[in-house]
Amino acid sequence: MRVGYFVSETVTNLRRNLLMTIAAISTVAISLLLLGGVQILGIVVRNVTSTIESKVEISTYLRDNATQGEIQELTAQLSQMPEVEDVIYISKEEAFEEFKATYESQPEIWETLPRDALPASLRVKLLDPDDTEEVAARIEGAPGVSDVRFGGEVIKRLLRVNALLRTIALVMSIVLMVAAAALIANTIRLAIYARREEIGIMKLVGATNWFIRIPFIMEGIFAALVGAIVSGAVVVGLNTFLFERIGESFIFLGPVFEFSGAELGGVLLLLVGVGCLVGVIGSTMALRRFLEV
Amino acid sequence: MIKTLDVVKDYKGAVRAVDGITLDVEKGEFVFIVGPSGSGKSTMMKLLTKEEEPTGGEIYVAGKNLATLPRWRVPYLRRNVGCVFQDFKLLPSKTVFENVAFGLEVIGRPRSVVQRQVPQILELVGLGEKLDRFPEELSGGEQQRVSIARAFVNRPLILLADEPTGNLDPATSVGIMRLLDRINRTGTTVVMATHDHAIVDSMRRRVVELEDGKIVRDQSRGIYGVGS
Repeated sequence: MRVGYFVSETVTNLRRNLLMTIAAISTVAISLLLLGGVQILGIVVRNVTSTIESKVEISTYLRDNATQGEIQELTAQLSQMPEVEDVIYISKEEAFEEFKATYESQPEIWETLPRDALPASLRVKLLDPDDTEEVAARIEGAPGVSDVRFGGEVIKRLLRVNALLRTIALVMSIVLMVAAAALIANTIRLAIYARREEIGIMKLVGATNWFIRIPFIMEGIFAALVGAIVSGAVVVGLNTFLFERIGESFIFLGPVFEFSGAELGGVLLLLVGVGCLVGVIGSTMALRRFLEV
Repeated sequence: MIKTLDVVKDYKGAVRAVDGITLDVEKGEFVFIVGPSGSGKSTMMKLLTKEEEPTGGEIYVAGKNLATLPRWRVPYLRRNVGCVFQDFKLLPSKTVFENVAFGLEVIGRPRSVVQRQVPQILELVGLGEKLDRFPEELSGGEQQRVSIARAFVNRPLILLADEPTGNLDPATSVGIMRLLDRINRTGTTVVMATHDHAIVDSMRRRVVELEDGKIVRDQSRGIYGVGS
């Protein structure tokens, strides 16, 4: 009976201030969406960094006409550099096999390629990624070398952009969450005002403070929870209708937009958890200020 | 049942509403608290339910020292102290039955108890036929009966009535007094603040007269008083 009482009280309160409730729910949803976006971005960036070449490697592509001697000399030179940890020779054959393995599910990409289409290369592993540029410059122009590529700088820049985006989104998300909590508090304040007579009588006849508070707290949590569910639905929707399509259409991006169920579930859990927290904070603010029981 | 010792209450702005009241009310007594407006009657009532905190002195209600009673215990104190007011304090959107039931529901009484006790108590106050009416459809006297039913449905040890007949005509007031007398005869201690001479004189019960926050007379089987 008590549960029934609390639920019906909560519903009455929510309906009485429908507009305020909607405002509170939307604000929660938007702020959580930003938070969810930050999380998704984090996962995307992590996927990108592990996809783009390897983190601290320099790929030294060799000319097709490079002689065995040139290759051996270059390998020896590189191995002697103090910054270099290891040098691995990748033959044309091996490069093709690797490529094939990467795009195993899309045979149309490699089926038509001749087996010697890709250049042989030396893969240079460095001890410290900060030396990448310097070492790469030294290799460039060496006999037998056609091209030098390294992912370090790209990744560094990517991580920096990511950190900036995350900070901006997080700050905005927190500001909006404060706004959401304030809106929830205000919604509840209105509900308390509308029921001040009833609350007065409840106190008079000896209803406990928690009995009086619970419907209002439930109201706040409910509004926040609906907001969380809306934002969660948008995240799942984006994943299904946008990211998966992008992933399919732009296969060369690699598995950038692939999220495991656990990753997605973690994001949703976070949204609901933070949403509930915002609801509780909003309710508590309202109760402390306007319901001195 | 109620015991106060040298109770003082100052409001902000240094107004002394209650000035050293020592009072002892036994279980089952019927006490009138009389005196002009501003003599401290209402403040005394509020002190007894811990709606207000005294500035000094001690108050014991239903065996509890109110000064040491923690805030979270106050609701349980109020379940033992029914309150009736001049303005009835009924919820206009609820029927007579629902108004009384509300008082039981919000202290967590099970539905079966509510279904049994509410019609009983409404029968007792003479409204057994009007369960489904709304307060605005009732006369003032009937509304006060609903209010009394709500205060008494939980069988409190004490019933506090602050000017319960203040809004009622003399004939209706007599009916309310009969009801309070009946409640008193069940063993409930009744404390009633009033400045209605006729009622006090006709009941011949204990009279405590206040003036400027002090007790100026405490008389068993008294009348309202000559001076006022």
